[in-house]
Order: sequence, then C-alpha cells, then structure tokens
Amino acid sequence: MKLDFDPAAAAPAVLRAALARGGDFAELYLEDVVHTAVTLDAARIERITTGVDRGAGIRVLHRLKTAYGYTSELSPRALIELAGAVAQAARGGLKAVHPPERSAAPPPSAGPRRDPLAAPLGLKVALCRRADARARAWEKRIHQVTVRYGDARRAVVCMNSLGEWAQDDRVQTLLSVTAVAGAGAEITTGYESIGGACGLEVLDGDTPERVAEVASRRAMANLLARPAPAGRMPVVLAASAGGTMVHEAVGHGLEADLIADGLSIYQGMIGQVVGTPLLTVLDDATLPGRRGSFSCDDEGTPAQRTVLIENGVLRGYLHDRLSAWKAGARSTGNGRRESFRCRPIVRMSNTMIAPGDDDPEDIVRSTERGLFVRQMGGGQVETVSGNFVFEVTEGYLIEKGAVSDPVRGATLTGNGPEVLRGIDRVGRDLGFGIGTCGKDGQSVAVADAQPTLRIPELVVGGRQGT
Amino acid sequence: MTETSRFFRIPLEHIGYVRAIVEGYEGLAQVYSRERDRGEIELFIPSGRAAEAAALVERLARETGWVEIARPPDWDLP
Repeated sequence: MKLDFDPAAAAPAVLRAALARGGDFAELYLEDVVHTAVTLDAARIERITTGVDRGAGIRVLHRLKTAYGYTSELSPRALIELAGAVAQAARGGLKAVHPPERSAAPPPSAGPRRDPLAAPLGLKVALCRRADARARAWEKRIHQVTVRYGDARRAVVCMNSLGEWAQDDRVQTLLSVTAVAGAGAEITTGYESIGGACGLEVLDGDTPERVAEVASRRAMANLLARPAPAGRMPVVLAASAGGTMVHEAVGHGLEADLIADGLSIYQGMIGQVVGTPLLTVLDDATLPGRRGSFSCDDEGTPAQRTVLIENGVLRGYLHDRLSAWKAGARSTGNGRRESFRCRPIVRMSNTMIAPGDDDPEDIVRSTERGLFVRQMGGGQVETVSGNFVFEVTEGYLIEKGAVSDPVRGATLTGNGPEVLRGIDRVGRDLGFGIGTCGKDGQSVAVADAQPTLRIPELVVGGRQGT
Repeated sequence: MTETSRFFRIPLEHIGYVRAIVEGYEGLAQVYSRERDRGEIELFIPSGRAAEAAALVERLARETGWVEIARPPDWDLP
C-alpha cells in the first residue's frame, strides 16, 4: 500500500488516541482498492467503471461493545482526529497500547500471474466480447446476453493495541455470463460465472467461451424442459451444483455471532452428532486462488482451515475476534468486512463439504428415480430453525438410474440438520461455486464446494404431480 | 463493432483533470490509469465515437501536454 506516511510509526499515537478515554482494544485498518467493472449487454458496452477507493477504519472494543468510525483521508492527523471521535464511546478498560509487530500471518502471496491492473481496458472488453459472441453463436434461440467482468486489487493493513500488525494484498477477478433463450412466449435464462482470488490467468485460453457455452446450455435446457415434478423424492446434488446448500443451510448457522444471539439451531451443540458420519464440513481460507481466500482476515488474524463438522459431529463455530472473546475461544480468522467503512463481522470464506468415497456416477446409477441438480440458484434459510428453500436453476429427472429430461421451476425445501443426517452417499469429486455473500448490509467474496451428494428424501416443489 | 484503445503519457498533475473532463462527455471514452505514479493512461473509445474522441484528444493535448504513445510493452496484450 502506497502511503505518504509510515503506518507502523503512526499507529501507536492513533491507537493511544482511540483508547484515551478507555476501552479494552483498539484497531486501525487501512485499505486501498483499485477496481474495474465492465458490463456488456445486448452486444453493447453498457457500462465501464474504474476507480480507487481508499480509507481507514478505527474500532474500539469496550466491555465487548464496539465503537467504529472511518475516514477516506489517509494522514496521521486525520487518523488521530478519527480516533478521538471513536474514543468518545468508550470508558474504563485497559487502555494499553503495544507497539506494532508483524503478526504470524503469512506474507501476502506473490501476486497473480497476470495482474489485472497491468492489463488495458481493451483486453477486458475483448474478453466480454468473446463470451458474448460465443453465447450468441452457440444457439440461435439465445437472443440476449449479458456479460460482466470485474477485477479488484485490495491492499489492507491491520494494526491493533495488542501490538499485532498484518497486511494482505488481494486480487479478485470475475467473469459472468447470463444468456436468455426464447421461443414464442417462453423465455428462460442461464447463468455461469468463473473467478477467484487470482488474476487474469483464471480467464486464460478459451475460458470466456466455455463460460458462455455453459450459460447458453442452461438457458436452452430450461427452454426445452418440462415442469419439475412435485413431492418427496431422492435428490442428487451434483458437484457442479456448488456448495450453496452448505453455505446457506449450514455455514450461516455456524457463525458464532448468530450463535451468541440465539439465532442458530446449532447453539450449544458442540460435540453432538448433527449429521451422518459421512459428513465433514470445513471452512478454509487458505486454498490457493479460491474466491474466499486470503492471507489474513480483516482483523489481521492468519487465514486458517477450520473443521466445523467432523464425521457428523459438530466441532466448532466460525469466530472473529469479538465473538471469540465473548465465547472464550480463539478467532478462526473469519473476521471480514466489505470495506474500511464497515466493522468486521463473522463471515465464511471457502466453505465446503469434504469429498467422500463414492463414485459420482454410481450414485446416479443407484437412484431409481429422483431429481438431479446440476446447478443451484438462490435461496432463503431461517437459521433459528434450519428450514430452507432453494431454487434449482438446472435440474434433470433421474429415471431408472440415469439422468434424463431437463426440468424447470424446481425448488428444494427442507431442514438443514435433517438433511445433514439424511445424506446417504458422498462422492469423491468436488465442485466449487463462487458468490458474494450478504450479511448485515455487507457483501464479501466467498466460495463454496461440495462433492456429489444424495439426499434420500427431500421435498421438491414443482408443477407436475408425482 | 470495434472499440479502440489509445495510450498517452501525461504529467501526473493533469490525470485527475483529464479523467474529469473525459467522464463529463458521458459515454465518449473511459480513462484507465495503470499505476497512479506512472503517468501513462489508456483512453478506451467505444465504437462510433472515434471522431469525437479524436477532437477531444487534440484539445486536451494543447491544454495538458499529453503525448500519445504506443501501448507500453508491460501492459498485457489484448
């Protein structure tokens, strides 16, 4: 991060000012983001935005309560002024400030192989044009295509009154394609995206074309699909479905702030059986290049791999610094924030169900009849009860042990813990999905993953009777 | 349907000004700077706006002293 001052030299005075009236902990967070976004819609460049966003946030924790302020002016004087304002909220406490020392967080990675900042805008637009052209050429009934490209390079520095100092340099690159297919009055859409904590190498080769083909295939499959059947039936979730279900129906319920507020069905269940012995659930921010990966979280805690459920037994929750202090636990490195304007809260990174031993094809072969889900859409989860409903955006019937006709309009309705206990086959494959997770008004980049799974009985919403 | 990229070297103190002026002509072009202290910018011009952009480039050259350059070799090839 390029600054006109040495943050390590300035931090002690800023943190002392933040704790001048009291408080147990103070933290200075500096952030510098350079970003580009391109939207191509209806074969035209609809919008290009490029920009720089930089600023600082100061947090004081006082008796486990948070005071937070931020500024976009990066100078020692402005930071001390901000610290003084934030300090108004705190009384008493330790007031101790230790000089900054490097934390145990690993240094930022060597950076992307192809830094998007080093690429001209023309290249990024050309990637969008290639995806658009392939989607349109793929099938004449694809009559509308939207391509979105985005990249961001985010440098962050975290320093706190415990003397911890960490920095990270994160790059995100993303390309998504939405294809609309039409025949008569019928209109259907297909979506695909690719991206990660990496540079333009994620779009090397013919990747834009392949993303466009998948989106087009999904739009066409939905156009040709018949209405989904309704009722209770076996559901096979392909690895390609990504881990939307584990993220929404399990992961959020294991966030320690929700646990502390009594908003999760998993409250007080550490050490208890919450799923089949076939089931292991992890959150791992250390996976190279994945969308939810980082070297340290936005509190400076080193990224780590956290086992949440091991062979069906609940082992732990996801913690940030504050939730860990409240619970007498250690942070799991899941304190994240959307930007310097936001306080850190407990967030997932890359959340996944670990692969098992089953052959994915055999899982389908051994299912006489049911629903095969190749892509999940959005959904809603009520974390207190664990009840969920998800859309299926690419689904097929399973008939006589084989994937057959596409179906559309299916929804999956169930209860997270019941599903975890019911899963009876876990494939040895693993498929990742990428997304942007919203919580408390903050959005952060995440990934989720799962192997092929079979749920012997789940309520499928559709239009056709069974 | 082809867009064009033109590259310029510009005194650092004028980058913000040029960006504001170009963005004022909404949709005419996009200014993209790789590193804030290099003084090299890309002007990305959508199809059909090349002539208007050329006129603006000429006027801004007189005003800011920017000079058109070849694509810097360390900027990735389209």
